[in-house]
Amino acid sequence: MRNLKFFFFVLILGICQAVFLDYFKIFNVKPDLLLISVIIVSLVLKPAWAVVLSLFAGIFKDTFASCSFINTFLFPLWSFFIIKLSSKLSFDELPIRMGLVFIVAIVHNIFCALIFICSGKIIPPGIILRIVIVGAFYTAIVFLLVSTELRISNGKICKLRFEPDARRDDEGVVNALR
Amino acid sequence: MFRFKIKKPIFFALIILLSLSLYLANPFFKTPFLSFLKLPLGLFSAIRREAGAIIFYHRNYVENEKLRQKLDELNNRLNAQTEVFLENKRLKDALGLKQKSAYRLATSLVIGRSLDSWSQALIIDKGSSHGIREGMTVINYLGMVGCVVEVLRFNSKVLLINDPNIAVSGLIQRSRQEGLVCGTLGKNLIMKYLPSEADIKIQDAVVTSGLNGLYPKGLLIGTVVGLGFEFSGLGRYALIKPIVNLNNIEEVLVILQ
Repeated sequence: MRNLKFFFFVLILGICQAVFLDYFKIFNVKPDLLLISVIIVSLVLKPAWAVVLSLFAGIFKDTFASCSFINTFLFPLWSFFIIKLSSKLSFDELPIRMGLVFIVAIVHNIFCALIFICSGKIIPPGIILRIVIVGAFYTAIVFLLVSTELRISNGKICKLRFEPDARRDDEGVVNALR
Repeated sequence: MFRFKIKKPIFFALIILLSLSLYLANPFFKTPFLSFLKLPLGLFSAIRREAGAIIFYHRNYVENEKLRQKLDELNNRLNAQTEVFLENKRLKDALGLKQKSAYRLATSLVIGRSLDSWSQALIIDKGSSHGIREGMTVINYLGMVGCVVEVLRFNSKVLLINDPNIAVSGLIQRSRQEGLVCGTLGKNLIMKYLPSEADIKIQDAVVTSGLNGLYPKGLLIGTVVGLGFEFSGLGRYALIKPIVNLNNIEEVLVILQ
């Protein structure tokens, strides 16, 4: 049931990104709600479900893309790395989570920019920098709003657990000393 | 730092393999995926339109008044031009020239847009069942919008003119200078391959040249807002402001014929 709720969470964020976000562009850049959903499900759900939902988010994004299918490949990869990182680092603090979102968004945008350049498209460097940097900042700020909204509805939708212990508990490995 | 057990590299390799196979199989997911999304996208875009009409009421009212005045002015000019058109028609008939037939258009609503800032695309609510084919030109009442790049049964994807994947053969209306108009993902387009002595000025109108047969001739693309020399110094480029507000398109027309 919880996994189904997060599936609808990813779906609704994707539809909102396709339909509403044009009104909220800053410097012609939109935040990446699907990337935010990938990071949230990677921090909250079990690894298998997190990767599956990340894959779904990647397919969703690539369906609307004009070229390349890089998101189908990258989103599960980010999910996997975040899962590995979250077992070593704690993402309890909001600034740390925002930092994670910013870094993932900037690396993702850099990958997309490199693919664009390597495919022969000519885009002014200023526009590339704007999309990479402003997009990452905007995504991190919107993550703050989305996670705050989820916390407000905490208990009504689900309980958000960002502690690595939660995943270890789910895997059946209890580390009482942590 | 990371201790890898024997299972983890296999898990990692399986994830990569699965992602790669899904990456390659992605085109087969698109049709059912977009068919599944058509209803929620249509519903959400209807909500957005209604909410926009309420929120932007005053702006729409002022714009409406301005458009009424402009409409009256254009009607007057149209009446004057009708005589010229009829005379032109008679003269062409007399010369035995083949008449250009009026376009057959399909109106469609925009139900979605590209999800990231690396592409500029629209999803419209008409597809192959409505006669739309890949490569058809998409316009609106002002000018050129883009072209159809993917067609499903009930949806189509339209690439906007400011997407870098699209290039249109353009013509300066005044001097008939040809060039290639490409998208830059920004608010302006760029017209490339202009000779250094090209007769081009700010405010010149740019239309499609119809040379390669992909796009009909004479569709208005935009106006020149800037000029410059290419890095090599051998040629010039022009910055073109699209005539259509590409960030705010609700409805488009697809040229069927």
